[in-house]
Amino acid sequence: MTAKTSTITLTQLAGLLSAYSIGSAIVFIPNPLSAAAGNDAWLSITAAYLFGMLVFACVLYLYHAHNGVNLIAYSRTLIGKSLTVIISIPIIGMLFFAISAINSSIGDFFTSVMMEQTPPYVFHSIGMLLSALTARAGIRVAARMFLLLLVIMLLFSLLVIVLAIPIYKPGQLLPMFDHGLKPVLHGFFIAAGFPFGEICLFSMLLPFVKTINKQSINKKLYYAFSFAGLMLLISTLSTTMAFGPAAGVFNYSLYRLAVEIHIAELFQRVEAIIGIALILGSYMKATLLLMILNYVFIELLRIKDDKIFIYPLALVCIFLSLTMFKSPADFQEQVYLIWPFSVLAVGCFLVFLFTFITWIKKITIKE
Amino acid sequence: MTEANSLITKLDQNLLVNRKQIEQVFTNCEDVNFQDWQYGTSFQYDALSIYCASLASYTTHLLQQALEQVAAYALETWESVTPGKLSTCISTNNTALQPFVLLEHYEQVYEYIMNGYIIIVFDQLDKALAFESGSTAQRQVTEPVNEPAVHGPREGTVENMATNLGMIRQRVRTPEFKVEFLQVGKVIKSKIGFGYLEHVVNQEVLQTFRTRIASIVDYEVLETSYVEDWIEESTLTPFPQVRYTERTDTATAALLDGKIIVLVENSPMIMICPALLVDFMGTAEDYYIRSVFATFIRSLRLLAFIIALTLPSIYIALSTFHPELIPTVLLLAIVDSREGIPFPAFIEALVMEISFELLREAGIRLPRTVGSAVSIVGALVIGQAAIMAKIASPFMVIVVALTGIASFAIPHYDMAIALRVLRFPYMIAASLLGGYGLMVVFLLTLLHLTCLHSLGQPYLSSLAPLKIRDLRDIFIRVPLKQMLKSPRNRRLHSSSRKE
Amino acid sequence: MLENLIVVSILLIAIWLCDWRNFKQAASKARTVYILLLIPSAYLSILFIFHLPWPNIGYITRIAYGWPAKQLLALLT
Repeated sequence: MTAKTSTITLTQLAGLLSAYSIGSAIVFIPNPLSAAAGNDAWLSITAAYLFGMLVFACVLYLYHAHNGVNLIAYSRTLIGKSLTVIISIPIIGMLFFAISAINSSIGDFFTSVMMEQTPPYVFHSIGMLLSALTARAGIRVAARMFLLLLVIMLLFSLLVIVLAIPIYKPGQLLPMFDHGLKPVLHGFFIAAGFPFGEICLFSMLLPFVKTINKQSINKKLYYAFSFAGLMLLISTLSTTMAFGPAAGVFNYSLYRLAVEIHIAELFQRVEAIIGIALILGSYMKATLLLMILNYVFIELLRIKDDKIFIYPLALVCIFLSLTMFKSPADFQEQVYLIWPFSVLAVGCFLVFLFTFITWIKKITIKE
Repeated sequence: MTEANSLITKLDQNLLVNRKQIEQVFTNCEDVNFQDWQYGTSFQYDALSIYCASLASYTTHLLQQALEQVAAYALETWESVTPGKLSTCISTNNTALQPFVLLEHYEQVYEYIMNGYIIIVFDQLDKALAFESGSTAQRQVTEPVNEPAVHGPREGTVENMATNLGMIRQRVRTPEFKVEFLQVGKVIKSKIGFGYLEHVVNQEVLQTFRTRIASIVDYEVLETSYVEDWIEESTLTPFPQVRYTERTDTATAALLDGKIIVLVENSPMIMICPALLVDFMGTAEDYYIRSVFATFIRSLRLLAFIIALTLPSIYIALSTFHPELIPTVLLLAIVDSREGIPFPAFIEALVMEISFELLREAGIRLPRTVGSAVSIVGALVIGQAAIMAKIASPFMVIVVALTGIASFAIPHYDMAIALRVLRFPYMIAASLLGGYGLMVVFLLTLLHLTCLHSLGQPYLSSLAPLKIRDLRDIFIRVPLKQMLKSPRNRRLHSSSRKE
Repeated sequence: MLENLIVVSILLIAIWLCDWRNFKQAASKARTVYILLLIPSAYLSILFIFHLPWPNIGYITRIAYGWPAKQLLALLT
């Protein structure tokens, strides 16, 4: 049902995947992981990355097994129309939550560190407006733009990480398993939900790629996902080495790292530039999630016009981001407890279920 | 023309009828001359020559020459030519009798008179002969004023399309360089010509171009830039989707890149389409200087691009919202210089920018006699007096001056105007939301540019969609050996191209 | 409250300006869904204007995932 006229190249899809995975994570990781796992945050993130690869492998398997249709389409084939509608409800709920949470966090970031006097609704509305305009322009435009923005964002992030080398203390990474396995598992739980597990929703965007052959699609996408994992791992390592146990206390880890940079008289207080660059990642992720939400609606309801719902969906997200979090503690609970659980329990579970059903079907057909 | 006359289109056998008809159409065109002739052994046959004195350079022996050609064909003397022999000669083999054109209809006669031909109408013959003769005053081929170059040819285009095409053909000596013409408009009847290299141009682009230009038909096209309105995808954007040049070497380079060039009679500007953002970064001269210098110049141009667009807004954002980003010593100097200025940074910037824009516009139309006086006044007003009156701080003057200089460093005028226009929304955004505002407008601009197409090609081609290979000729310039081997446009040397 | 009301008005006017033509041309199914999507916006905008602590998406997700998530957390800490 989706307008298949817009197709993107494999490189562009890989870029979107990297933007989707790194996106808002680069701003917040590894703060919640460090709070949970202390110095072993990097172990949590490595484990979460491996889990993400497993989920992604299932997503790609389903993509190829069902001839390149998206999640909702093969859900219809596997479990029927009515059940698909039922499972779509939590998925839609997840997507609304994710978009609004990202949007809300951009606003919180700016009002807490850079522009305290500006009311938050300015950032929430403008951020969502940008995402809505980009989503409306279509996936081709977004793919072209995001590759460029991803490069800019990564350059700035790497610059911060490199410039902060003087303050690293590698000793802070040890000892491993200081408090046992449970904190690492806790960190793994958070990271598996945000950002690695979210890959389960990316299947809505896979049908847009120009299909060449199975092997090259898989290879490039695995590389892109691994690249995202690597970037987040490096970010985790740098922050842990720089702050040690305090990494769990400082929000917006990479930004905080930039604050510590003092090179000559020139490169100080450069965190404002980094803050702006990091926001690009959140903008990209919010846009991609909005597009995914739009395609879920279109696929579910079999609507021909693929742009009509973008603005009303964006409007809901704006109001959600303005009202959903009552306090920072509320944010912590919803984003770092409820959200990872819902990703794992709904998103990843569904992907595993569909993989299993498809596999069983294939075996029975062979027989 | 009366209704009865409009039904008569073919020339009559009777000379007087023809004369009356043509005189009626050219009533009050007092530069159209009618000259009566007689010819034959005892000058018994009549002829009439009609020409427009402003357009044609008249030669007195034209009729004799025409008759001599007819006579030579029949191996006789020109005095013995009769209408009958003339008619036989023309109807059997007129193509051998050059250099005239045979006309049968009144509309053709009017058209050729208005194109500077001399028409000869004969009694007892329902056809007329049109001779090409001379031309009006033309500008000499000189160096283009707006595109000077240190290295390279100094041939600039003139108003005559044939001369311009001749200069380009001298450079591209291949039948693959195709040139097509069309005539548009009812009153001005402009001749538009477009050229391309056959196996190099993108066929889809060419097809799109052809479809768009075919819709011009009835409009009066005075200048090449009129055609832009039909070719461009989006009229509401400040960014130009075509380029202009007066240099024939630039046009040739564009042809090699697979572009289409458009010329209009009586205009020296050559339009090059499609123009992508990266095309506005370079000039033809980049390829005539060493690659190290060319890379340096291109980097400078990129810097100029960024400065022209964002410097005032960065200043506003930094001084109002993010003073911590400015090194402390500089910050103290800025604060010190801004002391006593009643306006916020944004108003100060706005006043200075608008004054500068006014000065720039006034400078274009200044008569030479008062030019220098006004320049001095402008410099004094904008520079010294504004500072002393505490309207602006010295830093603001520097910022505005740098922005102005940077916009002059951009080689293409259309792109420089686009940046001038865009500067103001950037300044407004920076004054409202500081760095965040700048980022928002930057993203909006990027979104707009990504959506923009030029004749079907994405405007940000090579940057978005990203093609690493093509980047070697955008912000840097690799040595020509690497580039000419497999140039930007791979079709030029691809194996699928027919030789 | 007035400030929030103005913000909501601006957003609603903006969406109307952008979409009224598309809405007119859309199929009836799309139009129905469009209007249905405006209902949560309306509810949330009232919450926003009057600063009301009424149930939000967090309430729903807590009901759905709250208990099992907390159990899992207890296991991990």
